[in-house]
Amino acid sequence: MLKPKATARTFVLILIVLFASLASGAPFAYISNQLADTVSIIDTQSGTVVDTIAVSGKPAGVAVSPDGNKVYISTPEAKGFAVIDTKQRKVTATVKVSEGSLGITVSPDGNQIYVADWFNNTVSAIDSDSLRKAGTINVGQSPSGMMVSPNNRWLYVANRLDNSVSKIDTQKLAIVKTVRVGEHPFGLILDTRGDRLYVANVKSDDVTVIATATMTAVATVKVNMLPYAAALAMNDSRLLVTNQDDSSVSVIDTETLKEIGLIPVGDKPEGISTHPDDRHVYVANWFDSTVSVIDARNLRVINTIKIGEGSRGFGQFFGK
Amino acid sequence: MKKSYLSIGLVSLLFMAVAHAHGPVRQKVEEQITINAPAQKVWGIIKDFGDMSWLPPVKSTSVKGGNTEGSTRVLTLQDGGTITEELKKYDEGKMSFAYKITEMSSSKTINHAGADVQVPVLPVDNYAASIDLEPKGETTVVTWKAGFYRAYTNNNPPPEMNEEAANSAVNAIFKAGLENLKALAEK
Repeated sequence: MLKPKATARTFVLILIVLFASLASGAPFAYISNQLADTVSIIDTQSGTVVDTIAVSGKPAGVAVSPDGNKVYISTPEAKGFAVIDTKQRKVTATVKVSEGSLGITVSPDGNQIYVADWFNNTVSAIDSDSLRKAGTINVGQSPSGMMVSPNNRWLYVANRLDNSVSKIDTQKLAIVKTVRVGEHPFGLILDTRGDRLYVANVKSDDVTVIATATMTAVATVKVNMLPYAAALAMNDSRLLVTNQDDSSVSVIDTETLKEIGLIPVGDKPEGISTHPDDRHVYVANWFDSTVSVIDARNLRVINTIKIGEGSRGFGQFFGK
Repeated sequence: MKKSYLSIGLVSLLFMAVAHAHGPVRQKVEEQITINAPAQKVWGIIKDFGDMSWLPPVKSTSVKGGNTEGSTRVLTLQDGGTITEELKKYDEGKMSFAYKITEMSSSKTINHAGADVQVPVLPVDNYAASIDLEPKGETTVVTWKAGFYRAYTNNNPPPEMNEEAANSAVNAIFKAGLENLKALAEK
């Protein structure tokens, strides 16, 4: 039996430890659960869902501000996006953009949010401070995955029905060049230096590798059935691609461009993102409503976390 | 006269080929049933991709290929409609296979948002499904799963082609199919 004073002291100590662990802020993953109209927050240190936030409008795409304070969630049925404040863990704003938002990304400087409209074939730039539209540009048919170059200068967008990827000048909001890729490009990932872009082609079951300086397709790598999105890990040496209809993740050596592994995950894997530790890769399994945690070094699933119905997590879903 | 019919056909074909995005929200249906029969017996009923006689709405099945990936089958329904499906995965050992719909006839034409729209016999789009058997002693657990989008590929769907219509149609087929499979296997 502890004395009351000792108990109180222990309690305070526990509080301090708890507070310290909260304040230290383990990296969090924010995953949209489209059928549940929620976003799950996974604490990657404990490997558990620490909060679930209601987001109406069938949340799909995810982007996190570089400082980790805001999460932007595209809501196709609410025709725009929701802003989650990660400290309060609640929706602090909803923004109507156009007709059917899907792809969403934020520039590395955090100033601009880009939202792709699946039906109108446009990309809108939104000022992240005012949440006002800075401009809209016409792109190819059914724009999907997007990413901004490390220097904030270029925006890349996959035009799913046009079988192409466009490079957009973010200052002029104009297309610089468009390159033809495989059939139905959807998710894409840019390497750390912004030199190489990998895009998953849903219909042709492959990945197109693009040299961004010239916007030329330099290689095509076969993966498995219905690839959806991709992530890079281990110093950009490994590319991981979700294969929706094979319930697996293909691992490609980015040097040789050969498949070095095929990892079984849950059913209908969709969104995929790499933890800030650059080693663990998280995959949202849409059908199973789970997240698989892959160790990209050993090519093994080390944890499976139950989250909400219809988990998609389309985009870069890690925050600080 | 003949010529104009042909061009209408061509135009509508073209339209279908061009306007093929899909709805923004993928739907899912999962149905499970426990059958009081050994898995081998249940598997014997469903294992031939070219034979879907165990599904009540299907009148006949014709197949190109066999139980190998890439084979296609055409299901002719009781009302005359057709659904073409392709075998995507087949695993005899695990007693499971996966397939997707590649083509469908339409059940009717409706007018929506100022355009004639054909409603497919199964009001879905981009439909992929799988069936798995799991032996549980002398019984078998059958799981039938599908992921799909609503039939209407643009914004603001008509009621015949929205998410609700898609879900209820697939649900009804899965329920009826599994119940009939149970009845056949337990005979």
